[in-house]
Amino acid sequence: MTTHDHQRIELPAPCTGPMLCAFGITLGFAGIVTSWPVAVVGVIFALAGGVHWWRQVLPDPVEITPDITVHPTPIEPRPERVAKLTTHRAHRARVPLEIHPYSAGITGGLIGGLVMAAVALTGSWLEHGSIWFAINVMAGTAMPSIGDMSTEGLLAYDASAMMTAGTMQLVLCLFIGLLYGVIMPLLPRWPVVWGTLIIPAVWCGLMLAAMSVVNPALETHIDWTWFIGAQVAFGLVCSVWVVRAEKIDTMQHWSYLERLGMEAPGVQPEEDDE
Amino acid sequence: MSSSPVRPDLSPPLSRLHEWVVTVDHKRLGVMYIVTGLVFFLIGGFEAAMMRWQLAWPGLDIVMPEDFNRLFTMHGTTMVFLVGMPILLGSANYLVPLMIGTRDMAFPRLNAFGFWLFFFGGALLYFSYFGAQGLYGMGSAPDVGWFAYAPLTERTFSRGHSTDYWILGLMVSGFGSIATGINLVTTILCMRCTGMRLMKMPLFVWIMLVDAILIVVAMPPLAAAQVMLLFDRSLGAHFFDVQAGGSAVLWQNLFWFFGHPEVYILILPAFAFVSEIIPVFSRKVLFGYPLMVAATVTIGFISMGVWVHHMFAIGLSPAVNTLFMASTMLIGVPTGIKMFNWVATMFGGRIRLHTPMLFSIGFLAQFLFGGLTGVMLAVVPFDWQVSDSYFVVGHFHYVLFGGLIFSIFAAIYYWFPKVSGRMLSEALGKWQFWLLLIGFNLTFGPMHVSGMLGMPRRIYTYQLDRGWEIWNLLSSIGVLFQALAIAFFIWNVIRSLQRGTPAGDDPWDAWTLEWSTTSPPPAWNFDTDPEVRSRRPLWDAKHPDDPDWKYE
Ligand SMILES: [Cu+2]
Repeated sequence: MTTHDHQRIELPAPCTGPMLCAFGITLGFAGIVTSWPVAVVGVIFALAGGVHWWRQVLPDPVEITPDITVHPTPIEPRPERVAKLTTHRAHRARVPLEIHPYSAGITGGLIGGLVMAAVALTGSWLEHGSIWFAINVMAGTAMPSIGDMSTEGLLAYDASAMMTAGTMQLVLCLFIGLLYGVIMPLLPRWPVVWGTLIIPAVWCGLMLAAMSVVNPALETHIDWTWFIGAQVAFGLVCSVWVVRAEKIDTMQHWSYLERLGMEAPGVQPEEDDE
Repeated sequence: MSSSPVRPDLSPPLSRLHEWVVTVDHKRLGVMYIVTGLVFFLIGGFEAAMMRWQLAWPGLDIVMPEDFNRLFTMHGTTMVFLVGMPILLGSANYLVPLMIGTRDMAFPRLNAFGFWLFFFGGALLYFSYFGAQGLYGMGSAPDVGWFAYAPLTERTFSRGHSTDYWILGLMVSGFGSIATGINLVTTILCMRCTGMRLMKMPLFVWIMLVDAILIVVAMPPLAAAQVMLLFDRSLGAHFFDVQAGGSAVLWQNLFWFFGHPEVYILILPAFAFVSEIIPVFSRKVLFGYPLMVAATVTIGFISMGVWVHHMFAIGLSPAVNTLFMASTMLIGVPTGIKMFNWVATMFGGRIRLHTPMLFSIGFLAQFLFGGLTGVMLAVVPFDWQVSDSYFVVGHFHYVLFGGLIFSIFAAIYYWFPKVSGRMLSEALGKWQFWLLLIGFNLTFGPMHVSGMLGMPRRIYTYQLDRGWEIWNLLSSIGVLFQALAIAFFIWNVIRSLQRGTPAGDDPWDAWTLEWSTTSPPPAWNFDTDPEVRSRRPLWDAKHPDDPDWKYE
């Protein structure tokens, strides 16, 4: 009896019975595919094994008490700690976490639209000696009749073309400005570069490819250098305007009570000390 | 007082052998199961290699056509009944009592009986190679395919005794499996140590509980069908004899009512292995334990209601086919939950890429692939296109080889130190892993293509103009890599048993009870009965200031 032996350990004694019995059963079945004496031997083995097994467990199971000679090494506490998961507000967030106000996009679009118009009109005046040329060509996208005009007609003032071009410019600049306002916070690294160069480049490429389908007659009148210049001017002004606007939180991490606007202790997030 | 099984009147090697033969110790029986299973794995692998050699190029005659039929029958039967089953029963035998903190199984002698029935059953099946021919001059090993479809198995078409050997060998080893299944259920339900409520059991034990229940439910129908077939063949009954009014579809229903749960009986242990290994090598608790338990139980239930997907091509009604298509797809849900939970366990963990973890990750990727082609096959019209083609062969080898066998190697590399007291070599293990990964995918990936190109399974050879040559050649070349990998494994085991690094009690810094005792564990497992308060009792012991039971 060792000092570690807190309790008496009993184990079932080894037993030949199960193996003999299994062997006998197998031989018994094998008799079907060999010959009947094999089956007879099998039944004898199975019975002998079964009786041996029976006598091992009844009336009292035969048990052995092993000599306890080996012991596991005790488990020592470990110094290392768990890195607990700290939920940062960016954990499982929908990006962007902060956005520019939509109003910044709308005003940016309007101002950008003005600058864009100024560039386009300057180009028109320098190239053709008339600011109406650019306005008429723009209106041509929506007014098929302009495609049939002579060059003199394009240089002259046309009230309906002016109305059409003005409305188009206003609506397009409002929506594209709003679009800039929404996507600026999503763009990586330098949003202004995206807004000034890459988005206008994509847009101009699309126009270049689509113009022959949209209005083949007008394709000949468009001055692509000034067109691109006007787009870049819009992009620059609008994106700078949007980026300069202060960002606001998307509220996605706010609690229901916060979103309701409740003011009570514990509802508002604590200010960080750092 | 003590009495030892050593017989002083025998010479030392004989008395050693005697000790193992008469043992009722769950650990020794577990080792015997696994070693026998691995020996059969080599035999079944040899049979597969012969088939791949025969199919490497059109028009070869490496083996005789009738031998080829025996090869694919014995390969399938061996891998399912004599490799998958003993390794799963062996690992459950070895680990369940240790993990639930008890000294042995509920019925130790029944346990030995179960092993020996399996052992002699397998021996009887292989004896057919000698016995069936020698005594009757008709046939040798069984050649009716591993699912032995009627009416091919009737005496009219299968003369001699080879099919009887198939019936009897599997029936005897099946009795053993049922005995061990009952033993496992009783042990898990009744023998847990203090504090180990059901939801505190390691997930391994939960999965083995469901697995054992599936064995108890699914094996008896197979035994019944086999007895009916034996009646047909020996006593003049006509259950499956179509000419005499029997039903071939009855056999298919009975066989697959066993056969599909059997697929899950085989793959659940793989889930059990990786559910223990991935957390330890990611240094995190298993993600979503309760959901994993629920998914396991759900898989157990659904797996008993999908068997008709093996019979889509026989012309059942569209309503029946649709029902079983739906149930088959349904089983993808709990299985998918498990996949996500294993990945979530690894996510953000401090992953240690030791060999057990490599094999576990290989399991995840390849089992996912096999599972997805399984969903494809569940779609009835698609199944009609590729039924009985090499696409199906590729699919189930991704599940059972890429899944099960990879997880078995993960388990061997993980628990070998506990069983033997020595570590396996990491370097040799990594060689084995990469060679097996390459060889496995090279062999079974191209089978999806040759199957889509129309190559039927089980054909002996094929003509040159079918476009199958390159895919078959690739498959056969893969076998060389696999053989090399297995050679590395055998060398690793032999070398490590002789002079591997001593493992110590807890080489992986793991958390379940088997690592709290010595390596190898003594016959009595634990000096004192363990007490647990959480699913990771060793974590609690190592970190008394931050134990798990505070969170569970
Ligand atoms: Cu199935």
